[in-house]
Amino acid sequence: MRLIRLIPIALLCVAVPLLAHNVAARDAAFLKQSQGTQIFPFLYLGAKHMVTGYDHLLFLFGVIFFLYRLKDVAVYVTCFAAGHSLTLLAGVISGVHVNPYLVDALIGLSVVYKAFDNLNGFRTLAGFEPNPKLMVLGFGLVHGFGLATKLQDLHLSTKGLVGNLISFNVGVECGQLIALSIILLAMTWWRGTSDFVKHAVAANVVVMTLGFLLMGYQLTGYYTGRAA
Amino acid sequence: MSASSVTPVMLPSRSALLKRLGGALLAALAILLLFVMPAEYQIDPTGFGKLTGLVKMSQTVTAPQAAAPTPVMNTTAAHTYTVPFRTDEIDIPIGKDGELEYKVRMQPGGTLVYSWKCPEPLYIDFHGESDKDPGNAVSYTVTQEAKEGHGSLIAPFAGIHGWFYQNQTDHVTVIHLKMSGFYQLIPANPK
Repeated sequence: MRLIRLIPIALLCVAVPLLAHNVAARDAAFLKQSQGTQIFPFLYLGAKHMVTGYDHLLFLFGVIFFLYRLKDVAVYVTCFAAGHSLTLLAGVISGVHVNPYLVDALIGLSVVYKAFDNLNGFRTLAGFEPNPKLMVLGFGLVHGFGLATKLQDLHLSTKGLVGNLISFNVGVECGQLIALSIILLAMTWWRGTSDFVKHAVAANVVVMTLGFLLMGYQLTGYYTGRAA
Repeated sequence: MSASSVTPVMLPSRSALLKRLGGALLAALAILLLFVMPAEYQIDPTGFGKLTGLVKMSQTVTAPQAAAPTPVMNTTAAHTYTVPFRTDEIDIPIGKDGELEYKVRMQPGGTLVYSWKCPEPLYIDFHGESDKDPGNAVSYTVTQEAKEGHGSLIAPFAGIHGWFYQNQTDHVTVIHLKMSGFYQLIPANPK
């Protein structure tokens, strides 16, 4: 039931980008107390994190913006999922700790990149376009580090870590599918409207703005060393 | 090969593209300076945050988080109480790789002064849970690793306030905690 209530919130998050995006405090308290493998709680948390994670959603939104065929959507989303799963699992298991501000700033950059690419920025300015599938895979790796730092912040118990981690990862993919289907529904409707192309330019400029804003927000946190 | 083959956006002219890029950058910078920095970090380069009260948002949210010894909250400096303060010394055993919470009950504005020591390094999350929103922990300070901690708290809300400790070693150890102030002990919750 809560998941259904989260759906409009997820859409809102695209418009209100600066809601708290750490794993919610109450969930954090739960995770700290949890011991051993807890498949469903972690599954749920992974899905919740994705559905309420405006930075991941903005990137996903940019990626599928001009993908009309479901097959293309599947290919790109698989690239993204492969990227972030790899670094999420590797990051938490190996204990590599990346600065969360820098990772989140890079996630902001991924949003800027995709919006800029949608505006045909690379071909206009540089005369070539970086391979979009490789870029989505590469930025997927960055998003995975972002997910990993959020989990690492919680100081999870080492008991049942791998099981919990995999549950979280599966949950992230479920959440992504939920978010994706909603975005796709909205996009299909939007593409059917007559002014779509005109709005598409404006929409990508707005997405790029939000990406820059995310970068500024995180870099300010990095340089001041203050928790937001 | 790529999505570009179906991209309906025409190849923009250089100047149109630069305008879009610059517009996005400027808009982001304006929102960052005017709204996000004052509200989230108490940094107010334009004065707009003070004018609109946005700066106060981060004060009320982050004031208890500040590690500084002086309270940042803009309330009166003096607090008076109808009862004398109490003092407690407690030894809290913690198992290897163990985790536990130790909390006391406080009213808003209640003051607590504390010192704790432990022979082994601990991870500490000093936090509170409001009675209005039980289970939702609000962190005051998080310390990745320490063997002692000293400080004070003026409770920002009615609820339980205290420490989450996590033993970073595989030795059983004991935390020695001293507290003074205006609070109530609560019975340990059996887990």
